[in-house]
Amino acid sequence: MSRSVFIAGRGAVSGYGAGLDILVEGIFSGLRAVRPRARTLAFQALTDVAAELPAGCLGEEVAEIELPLRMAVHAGQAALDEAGASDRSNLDLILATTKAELSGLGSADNEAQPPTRPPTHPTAGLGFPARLAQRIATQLRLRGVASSVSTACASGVTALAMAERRIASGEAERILVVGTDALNRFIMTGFGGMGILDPEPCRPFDLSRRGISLGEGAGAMLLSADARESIGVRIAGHGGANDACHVTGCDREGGGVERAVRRALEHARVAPADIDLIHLHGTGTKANDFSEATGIGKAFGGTSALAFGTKSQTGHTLGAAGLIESLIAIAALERSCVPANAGLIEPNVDPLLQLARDNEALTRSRRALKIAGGFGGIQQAMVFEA
Amino acid sequence: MTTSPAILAIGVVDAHGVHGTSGLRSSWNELGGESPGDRRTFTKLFGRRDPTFRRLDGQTRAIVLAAEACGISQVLSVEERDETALITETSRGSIEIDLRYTRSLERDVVEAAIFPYTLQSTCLGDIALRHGLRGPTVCLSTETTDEGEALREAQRFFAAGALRHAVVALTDVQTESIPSADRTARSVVCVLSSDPKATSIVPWPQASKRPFEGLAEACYARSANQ
Repeated sequence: MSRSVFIAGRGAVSGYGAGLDILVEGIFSGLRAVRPRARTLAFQALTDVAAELPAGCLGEEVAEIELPLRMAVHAGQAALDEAGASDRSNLDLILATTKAELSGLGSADNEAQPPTRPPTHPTAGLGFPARLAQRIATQLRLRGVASSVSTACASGVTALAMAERRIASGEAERILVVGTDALNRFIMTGFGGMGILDPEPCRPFDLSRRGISLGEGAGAMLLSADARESIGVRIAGHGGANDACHVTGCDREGGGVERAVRRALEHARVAPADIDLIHLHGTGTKANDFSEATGIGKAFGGTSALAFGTKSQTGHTLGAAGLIESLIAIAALERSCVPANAGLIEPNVDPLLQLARDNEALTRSRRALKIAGGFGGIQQAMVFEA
Repeated sequence: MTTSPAILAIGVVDAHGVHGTSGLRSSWNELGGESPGDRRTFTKLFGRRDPTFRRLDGQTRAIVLAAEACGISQVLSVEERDETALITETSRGSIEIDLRYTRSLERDVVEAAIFPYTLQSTCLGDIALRHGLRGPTVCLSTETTDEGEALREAQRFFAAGALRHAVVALTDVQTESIPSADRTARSVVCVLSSDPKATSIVPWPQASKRPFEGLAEACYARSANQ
């Protein structure tokens, strides 16, 4: 038994604010949510910018440690609302996150705002995906199974693929997939210490790139087996791979990306020429940019479909990135338009990767390819079909 | 998810020692120290030096040893490993490294080199790299230990026809006490095949409430008979 899996509802919270519309408008108008740091200025990081959630956009002041929960609940509720999902008695949840509500593990920055936690849980006081999944499910009154996956920055697409498998096989009818991650001292200092933060807003694929910009947010999709609930888009296929060449670095030859894309296309039963646009992982590190471009070029066997990335606008939202960026890819299909790569002036990657320089109208907008990667050599690709 | 996959190999690192269906069987008394071993354990066990093992965190050390004890290369060819998924579940995640990294933050002497290991999936990169596993990689976070979710996820991969082999693992390592949490240092790794012609070395732990524990017991029983 293998059934089609449709997108029935969507929701997002990002550096632009709360809501999918404001995210999509921001992307297509070329605005950048990567701005001078404000809330996160409380701790040192080797950059002056980040795509922080605008203060008050969730209606009230939210403690940093509660942001992953609150953003996830907001995005999840929006997805449920769009789908008109009133019956939640059997609705499953899959959470994608890197570090859940971890916020410095009770460091001095957060002592003034102690978190409310189940005191008996083994990881009480620590960020942990499984517990955050339970908290999200409780707040959204979801009474199905709550699962969580943490494959670093590929978590979002991994979670969508997991949900697709469960629905396609008949194990579940509908699953809410939510990705969420917030900025905190732990994350910003960590990436800063690795020397991969661009001091300015990042410029993926550009000759002058200097690294990534971080962001925070949540993205949600309600997936359903029922075509009548569809927004007009389905998951046509997906594929995963591991570079298996370095623990934290990328395969410069793009082997993992190539395999993930080939597997996704094979699963979707389409050829490279059937892909109309690509939403790239596009972090802005040289290693990722080269690996991704080379891998796509090999998988396409020539010039790629028109491609874009949005981390120069939303920042890298880590475990939320796969969901947020898949929503943008779907918006591009709906608008029949590929947005420009913000900040791209002089491309410096494999020329087979066809990067959008301006907002470009598509003559055909049927299928979008989304790519994501994460520490541990993890690569994911997914095909959305309108 | 109808036919159970075949179990081709099992490796275990726990309080007793390091055991595997590859034939490896060694107690911590023999090795010196306790689970998940120290920087010398790899050399003691396998008689060869490993350039990176001494630098690994406890979680990664446990899964690396269990994977070696499993003998992945004895049951999967290089070509098969190109298409093999790596799926793990953990209830403790990277808690040890989280704590160590946070203490470095508080001292303002940030241990940047360990930051990537605060991400649960990073240690999987080590396994993928060591054994050439180039299939999909999934790291599941579970509320309690040994829920068997990684085994179910492997079955879902097989049911979807996406691949024929998976390396599936449980890893829970926390060698430092924290409130309300017992110390633990355990990893169980197994190799699964959906090939109907493959022969399972032990029965599939269908009714087991703690399936990885069942696999570990089966591994002990098998190695005791070898």
